[in-house]
Formats: sequence, C-alpha cells, structure tokens
Amino acid sequence: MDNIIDNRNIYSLNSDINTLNNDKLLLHDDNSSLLILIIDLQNFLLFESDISKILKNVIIFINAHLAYSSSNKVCCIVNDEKEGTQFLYPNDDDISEQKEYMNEDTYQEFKKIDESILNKLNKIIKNNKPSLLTRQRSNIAGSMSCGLTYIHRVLKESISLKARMLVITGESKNSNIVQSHQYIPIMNCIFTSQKLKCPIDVLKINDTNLGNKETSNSFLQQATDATNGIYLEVNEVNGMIQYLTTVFYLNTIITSTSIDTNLKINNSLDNLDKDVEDTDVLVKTHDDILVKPSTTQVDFRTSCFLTGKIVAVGFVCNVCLVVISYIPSSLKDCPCCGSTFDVKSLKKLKYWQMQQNSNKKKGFIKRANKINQSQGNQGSPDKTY
Amino acid sequence: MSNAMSSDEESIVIRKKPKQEITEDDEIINTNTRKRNLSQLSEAEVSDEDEDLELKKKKIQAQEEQERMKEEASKKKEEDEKNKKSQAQSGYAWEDKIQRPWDIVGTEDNEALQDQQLLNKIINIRDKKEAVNTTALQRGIIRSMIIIIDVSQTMGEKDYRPNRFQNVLNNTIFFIEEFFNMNPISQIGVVSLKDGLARVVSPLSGSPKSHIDALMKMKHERIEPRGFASLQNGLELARGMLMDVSAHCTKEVVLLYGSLSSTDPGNIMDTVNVLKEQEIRVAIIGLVAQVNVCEKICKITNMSDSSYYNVAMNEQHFAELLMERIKPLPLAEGSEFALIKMGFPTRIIDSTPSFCSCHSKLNRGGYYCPACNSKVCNLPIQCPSCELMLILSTHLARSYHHLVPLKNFHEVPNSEIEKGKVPKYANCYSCKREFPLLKGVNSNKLLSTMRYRCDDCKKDFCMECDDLIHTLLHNCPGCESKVNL
Repeated sequence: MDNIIDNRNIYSLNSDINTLNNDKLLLHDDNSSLLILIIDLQNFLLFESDISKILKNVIIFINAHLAYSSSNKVCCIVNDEKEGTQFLYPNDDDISEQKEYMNEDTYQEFKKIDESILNKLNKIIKNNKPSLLTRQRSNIAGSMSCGLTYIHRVLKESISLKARMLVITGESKNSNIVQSHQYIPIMNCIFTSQKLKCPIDVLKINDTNLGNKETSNSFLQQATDATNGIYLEVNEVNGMIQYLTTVFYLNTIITSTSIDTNLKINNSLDNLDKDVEDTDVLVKTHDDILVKPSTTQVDFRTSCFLTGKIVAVGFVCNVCLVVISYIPSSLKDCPCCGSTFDVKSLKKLKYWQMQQNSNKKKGFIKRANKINQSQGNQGSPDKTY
Repeated sequence: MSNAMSSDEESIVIRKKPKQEITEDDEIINTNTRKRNLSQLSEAEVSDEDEDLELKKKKIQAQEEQERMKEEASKKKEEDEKNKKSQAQSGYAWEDKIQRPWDIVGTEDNEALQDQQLLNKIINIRDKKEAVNTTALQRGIIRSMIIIIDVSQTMGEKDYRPNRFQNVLNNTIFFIEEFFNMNPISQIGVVSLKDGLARVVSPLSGSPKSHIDALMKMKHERIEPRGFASLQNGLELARGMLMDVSAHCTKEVVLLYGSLSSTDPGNIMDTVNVLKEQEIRVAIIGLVAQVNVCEKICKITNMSDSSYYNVAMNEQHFAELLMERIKPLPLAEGSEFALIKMGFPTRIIDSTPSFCSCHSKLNRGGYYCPACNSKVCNLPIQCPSCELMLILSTHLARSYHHLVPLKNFHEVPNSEIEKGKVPKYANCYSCKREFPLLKGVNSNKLLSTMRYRCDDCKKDFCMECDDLIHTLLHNCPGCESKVNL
C-alpha cells in the first residue's frame, strides 16, 4: 500500500492526452473552470485492489482538466473513515517533503498537483485501517459542504470562472455506514450549489460481487437532477477513464467554453448575405449538443414517518413538516414535534380517511379502474387495426 | 463644469467653518484677558478718583454684560453644532453632513486609523448577525403574504435612487424571488395604493413568475406615482384576498409605505380590529419618518410587539428591512396546529404530448395528481381540479433550516493565539484560506483573530465561510464530516 501509484506511467499517459488536445481544444483559453473532485473514500477503502486503478484514472482526469487551459483549477477532497473531510489539494503539508523527481517532459502544474495529491493520499491510507465493526455515519455531505465553501471563495477571487463538482463514490461492504441522516445536509448542499450555479456530477462505481439490487444512491441522484448534472453508474473499474473523459470531461469543456458566441460568429460568417434574424436559430446550451446519459427515474418519493412506506397522498404537520401517510385513530399530537393538533380539522381528516377506506373496501376504486380500462380499450382500436 | 465648481465651493465653505470657530474661540480668550485688565484698571482707578468711580463701575458692568452676552452666544453656537453632530450620528441620510471621498482620504496615520474603524465596522456587522436568535421556534412555514406598495405622489421623490417607487419595485422583485426560494409552499399577492384606491397588481398565488411579470410590467410602463395613499383601503383589500386562505396558513401583510398621511373612507381602527380578529399580521416598512398610525397597526396586529414597524434610514437599510420579512414568523400562542393533506406526485415523461390542467399547454413531461389524476406541469401548485396541494419532498426540505437553525459560531478570543493554544498561521477549515493577522498599527497588538469556531466540532472558519454557512448553506462542514455517531 506504500506506493499506490507509480508516477511515471501517469505522466507518459498525460503527455499523450496533451498532444491529443493541443491541436483542437486549446482554442478557448479565456473561459476557465474550477473542478471540485470529491472522492468518497469511506466507501472505497474496502475494495483495496481497485483503489489504485480508480485513483490512476482520476489523476489522469485531473491532468486532462488542467491541460485543457492554463487557468483551469482543481480542488480535490477526500472523506475518509478517521479524520472526516480532508483536502488533498490544496493542502497545508510542507512541499519540501516531496520527493525530487524531475523529468523534462513533465508539465510543472501536473507534477505539483499530482504529487501533493498522492503524498497526502498515501498518508491517509497508511493511517487508516478500515473497521467493519463500528457504526459510522456517512460524511459525504461534509465534503460537499467544504467543496461549496471552496467554490464560493474561488468564485469571489476570480472573474468568469465556472465551477463544477464531481463526486466519485462507491459501494461499501460495510453495512454499518448510516446514510439516512444525510438527507437534510445533502439537500442544503443542493440548494447552495443551485445558488452558486455549480452543477453536481456523480460517478458511482458498483461492485458487482456484492450483488445489491438497490444500488442507486437516491440522495446524490436528486442532487444531480436538481443541479442539472450527470448521474452515472459504472460496473467496471478498468475502463473508467473512458467514462471520465467522455461523459464528465467533455461536459466541463463545453460548459466552460463560450459555445454560444462561437456559434454566433460562425453563423454570422455563413449567413452574411441573409437576414440577421436567422441568428435566433442557435444552439443555446450544451444540452442541445451533448446527449447526456439520462437519469430515467429520479427517486423523489417521500416516505411516511410512522410506517416508512412511500406516500402519494399524505398529511403534513404545519409546524415540523413531518409527513404521515395515515392518521391513527388515537392521534392527538404530532408524532415528531409533539404539538397538539386542532381537534376540528383532525376530525375532518379522519372522516375523509374513513371514507377512503370504506370506498376501497367496497371495491369502488376497482370498479372505477375497470371503467377506465374499458374506456381505454374502446379508445385504442386505431392502434390495433 | 458648473457642477464641479459648485461642489468645490461647497467644500470650501465646509472647510471655512472650523476657521470661524477658531476665531470665535480666540475672541473668548481675548475677552477673558480684557476682563482681567479691566478689573486691574478698575482697582487702580478706584484709588485715584472717587467721583468717577460709580460711573466707571457702571461702564465696566455694562462692558462685562456685553461680553457675557457674547460668550453665551458663542456657547449656544457650539451647542447647536454639537447637537447637529449627534443628529448626524443618529443615522438618517438627510441629517448627515455631505461626505466626499476626497475629504475622507487622509494622511497615512489617518488611513491606519480608518483601517481599524473599518475592521470594527465589519466586526460590528457580524456581531449583529450573531445576535440573531438561533433557538428553534415553532414557525408558520406555510405562509400567505400580501405585499402592499404605496404608489402615491410622495413615492415620486428622489431621496431613494432612482426614485422611491422604482427603488421599492426593484427591491420587491428581488424579495419575491428570495421569498419563494426560502418558502416554496407559500403564496404571495401584490396590491398597489394610488389615487386613494387600492388595486390588485397580481392575485394571491404560489408562482413567483406571475408576480415578477406584473411588477416588471409596472416598471416598464413607467407608471407615475400619483394621488394619495389610503391605508384602510389597502388593508381591507388585503383582508379580502386573505379571506379564503385556510386556517393552517399564517396570514401576513407587508406594507411598504412612503406617505406620511392616509386618506381613508372610514375609521381605520375598525379595520385594524377586524384584522386582529382574523389573525392577519401586518408589518410596515416606512420610507420617510415614523407615523403613529402605522406603529399602532403593527402593535395591535402583532400581539403588542412593535418590532414589526420599521422606518428605513437609507436604501440599503430598506433592503435589509425587507429581507427580514423572508424568515417565517414565529407562531402566536394559541395558534392552531393542524395536519394538512398534501399530494406527492411522481414525475412522468409521456411519449405523446398532452395538455396540462394548469396552463392548458401541450407538453410531454409533468406530474399527475395522485388524487384526481389531472396533469400539472410545475410544482408546487394547488391541483386545479381537486384543490389538493401538490408538492415535492424537496420543497419541504427547503424550509427545514427555518425549523432547525444552525448554531452561531463564536469568535476565537485573541488570548488563545497569545497563549499558543491556536497556531498563529492557520487556514480556514472549509475553504483553506489563510486567516489574516490583523494588527493595530501603533500598538502592534492583534485586533481580531478573524476565526469563528463552531461550538460542536471545534473547527475554525473564516469570516466569509461563516457568512456563507449561516446565510446559505445551513450545514456546518465540520460537524457533517464527523465520522462517529
């Protein structure tokens, strides 16, 4: 575990990418972007064999981001089991500790950032012995909050910088990691990143050996949906760089460049003879160019405080906003905050509930459904014929 | 050019004033010396000639009286000036002396002093924020608010830039956006007061867009403020608009009032008493000066709490006062707690477009009301056919921080750095910015540590992070990254 990653390989790969990018992509240097990378080590440390592969890919990704523009910035945050949130880059450690390793081909910025990330990470992993027994709370929201404050700081310091957050998370064998308390903090992070106009992307690496059925992390899924980011689940670690560069890297490029103005220039050159009104037909956002991996179904469902079932029509306490799916006959106070409800309104709701239940018993709804179905059949003959 | 000239002249006048004071002071000193001379003279003269003594004494007394008068007059002047200064400190914009940037800029010593003053100001502002109570209160999360805007002739005045009315409009538009960000399941209506009448600008609804469009229309049409404002008409209209609102909502009226008078059709106190009965709470922000009726209205409708009536001192203060109204009001004692029936629809993307029941527009995506299956295109909304409130769980999550506010961070005292408990050079926990070391220029002592500590996780944050965390994020990054339960 001492040397997780051999630096030399990375640099050679990087130089390849650099040469690839040189001729095409360095056109737009004026718009730079800040990439906040959050690695959820809490979930990673447990499949040790893969971590070096994953981090290798991640480092290439970071270097690709840096290579794209000299004014691009990176911040890398890790949340681990012992210390909580830790900054890999920028960090407070002494730079003098770093090993002297010079290669004429390497780009200074790569060396500086990669070494500080790897050194810090080596330290963390050395100190860290994963414990399966103790109950832990997931602390991804803490890292995200730190990332957001960092974004806030950097955005204030520079002009026309766009920020983006990528969360790389895995799946843990440790079932003791508690997720449920994360809802409100992650929600708060979502609202903040909406305000800072920073999309949150999530890359989730599934471990196929675990064979979990419900794999999607619904909180992070909601985060990507609300901030217009990308949620991607990957089963294979080996080709990870492919996903990173095609899905997440391209996106950073396109959002970071002024694609509108470029297209406008092109258009106006092409249509010099035509009316200027034609310029309305322009590609406006990157969404129109890139077909993002779509999140088909985002789990927005609310669960009942009492039963834990998913609620379609529920009752909300107007003081603490707790959601209940049914009203027990003995209910007088709020089960969460204890405030006593108004008797009249409670009676009304109970009466409504009674009616609903009796309707269900009578099969009223079933009949209604049947009628609906028959109507649907009547309406559809066009298709069948 | 003429402007520049006149301003120069003014500045010269201002600079002349102190000189005059000095001359007056000199006169006082001179008179004192004269007094002594005179008294010495008088003694000498008394011994020489007895006949002229009385006359001379009278003369001297007369002189002395004159001098006293002079002294008193100069003292009065001084007192007047002192009063003026104290008034200037009271903060009303129109009572301030004209400040010019080139007068403020001074020598290096002055600059250092000004730095200190600036720092003190910043710290004071933070202290004010810290003074905000963070105890969890039961608050009315589901609100319905009527904003009444004064459009009477007084709003045309230009003490607020570009004028009072435009300034109020701009601020209101910003306020509505922020309001719905923080209170997504609430409703707003807008009313204008003009020509003694009250008109509905946009009816009570939960979509910020409709209100902002209506206000933008007012702005672009360049409606000129005209006539008189009528408090009673405005409040009656607001009362009517809030009539249908169900009991579990808090009913609020925010009145932005630039007039100093009100032309009412009847007795306004009758209206106020009805408002009190119906538990409608009125908050008034005055633009000009305190008005007794407004204070009374706020007191009566807010359980004799007079903090809901405020008078703005300047533009910035007005914006601050308005933003205070974003926070939900604490529930009154004895107010109803109730369960509210709400629907939580799931989003569905259809292959064929269909009409939504809210705007009658064709679209593919949408939400189906779980009770009546009608399609709506945006949430939160009250289902147009069955009137069930339809929301997403995210909308509820928006309001959680009102219920469980984040604890305030406290400034790390200077002594901790001096004792070496805290390293002198350190970075902010969450943004990695180095804490500034602010030292007094002459004393070379630390003015402030500029670090703010969370009491729970004992992590230090910089001032900007502290601000962001408490105004926007509502998470403590330190506490959230704790591992152990």
